[in-house]
Amino acid sequence: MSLTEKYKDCEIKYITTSFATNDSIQIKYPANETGERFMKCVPKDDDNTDYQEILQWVADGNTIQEAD
Amino acid sequence: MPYIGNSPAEKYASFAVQHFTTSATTTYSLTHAVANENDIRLVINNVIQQPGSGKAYTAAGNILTLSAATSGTDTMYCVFLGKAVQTVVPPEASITGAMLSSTAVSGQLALGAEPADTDEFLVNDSGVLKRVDYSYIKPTSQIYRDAQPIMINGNFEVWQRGTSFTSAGYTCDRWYQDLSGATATLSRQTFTVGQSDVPSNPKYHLRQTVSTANNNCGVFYRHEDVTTLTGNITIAFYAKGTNPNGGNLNIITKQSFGSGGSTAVETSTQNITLTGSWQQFVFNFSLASISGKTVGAGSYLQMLIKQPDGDSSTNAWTLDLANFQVEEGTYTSATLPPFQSETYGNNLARCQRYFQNIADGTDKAIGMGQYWEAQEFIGHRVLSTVMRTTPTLEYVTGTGYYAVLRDGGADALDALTISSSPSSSSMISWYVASAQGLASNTKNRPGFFRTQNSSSKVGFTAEL
Repeated sequence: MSLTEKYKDCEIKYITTSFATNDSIQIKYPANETGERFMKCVPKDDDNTDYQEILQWVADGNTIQEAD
Repeated sequence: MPYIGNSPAEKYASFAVQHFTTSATTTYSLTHAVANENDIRLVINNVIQQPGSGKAYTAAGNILTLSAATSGTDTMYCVFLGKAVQTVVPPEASITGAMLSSTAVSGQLALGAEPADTDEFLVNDSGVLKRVDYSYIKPTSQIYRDAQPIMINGNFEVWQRGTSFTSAGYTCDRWYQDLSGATATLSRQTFTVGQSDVPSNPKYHLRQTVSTANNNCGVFYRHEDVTTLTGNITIAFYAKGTNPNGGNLNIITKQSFGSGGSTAVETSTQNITLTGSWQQFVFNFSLASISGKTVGAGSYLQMLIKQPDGDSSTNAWTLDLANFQVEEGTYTSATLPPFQSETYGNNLARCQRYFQNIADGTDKAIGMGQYWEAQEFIGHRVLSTVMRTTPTLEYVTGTGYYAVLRDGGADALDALTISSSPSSSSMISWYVASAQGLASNTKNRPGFFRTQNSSSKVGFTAEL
């Protein structure tokens, strides 16, 4: 499965905190029929597999949304 | 009279004797060369013969010549008076290591199978040479109980994420369900206590029930750091079930050299043909040399059991998997070391390097903190084990699934976040603000995170 398929319908955007701009990355998966959803908050650590995948996803031509 | 050298050990001397098969002849061959007939004593029919020319016999070199021919019924032997064979019985406790040849053992018969329990080995017991039965020293799972197996959760005992999964992803700790377009359920199954089909009394096993199959659907395990398992390895496990339409599953290893590392290398596939009964499978793999490779972050050795790449059939199949082990070196089912069981605590601690379940269900504490600003709550949590890397926060959410409790009240939340900047593999810093639905409150007020719904679920993952 490609990363584009894996993150299809997901909302991927930066989280800005008091410590740093674009501090971490939030992945919001589509909600189920009851409104419940799976979420991830990915730290910007080069050894983190999720972060590596997001970098690859961006390299594939996708864009991370700006923080609120 | 004194002499130079050590006093000789107790000695015995015996004379060499040759018995002859007699016939009607006067000439016989001697087994030892002699100077003349006086070097031997010849006895015919128990009568000593007189040596010398013109007497009963003469001898020179290896030739014995009789003055009269014997017959086939005579008995004849000679004693070589000039040839003594000396034997020495060494005194007790006089043989030292220096007297043994370095090849004293290699020339002996080799035992071609596992020793019997009563076979004996020599052991130096505080300086005293003693015998010990093999039964006392043979490897058993009990001996290995405190040792760490190479595999983590090879006995499928730790299931922090749950016990049944229909999505692709990590399931049983350290085990990933790879659907590849298939529809499947991976679940925990319980062994009957005392069963003998699979040794070492495992509590659980993994079952992958594939209802609509596809090629490459299966399960895999990733061993951290590709440089720590090299050369020849043996993968062994117990399995049963039903096969894909093609008749078998595949097992294959992949060396992944991490982010920015060399291109991954796969071994050739080997076949697994399941039956309805538990059976042990033992596979030998020769991994590619890592010499000259570039190894980046997150490298691993992957072990994958899957429907073959060339088998795109959709027929249902089931894989039951238990006691999965990996050993360095080449083993057969007869020589394979016993499965190494771990205590649940040790197994869980090793699993938590990759995943930590923080809260599951309602009213579970997540962490302490305080309002940094009116709408910023910051907290910290020390991880129970140092994780492989700064982990990803994973959680299930819905309206009001979480809350910050403070000063007799609660501020509901839908989202949780962590801050990369201060977080590490050993401590996490939470950060929740108005963007996550946090209501305004008093700055510096302390509080703590907790779950508020039976479906709330929080974990940290640092999987490969």
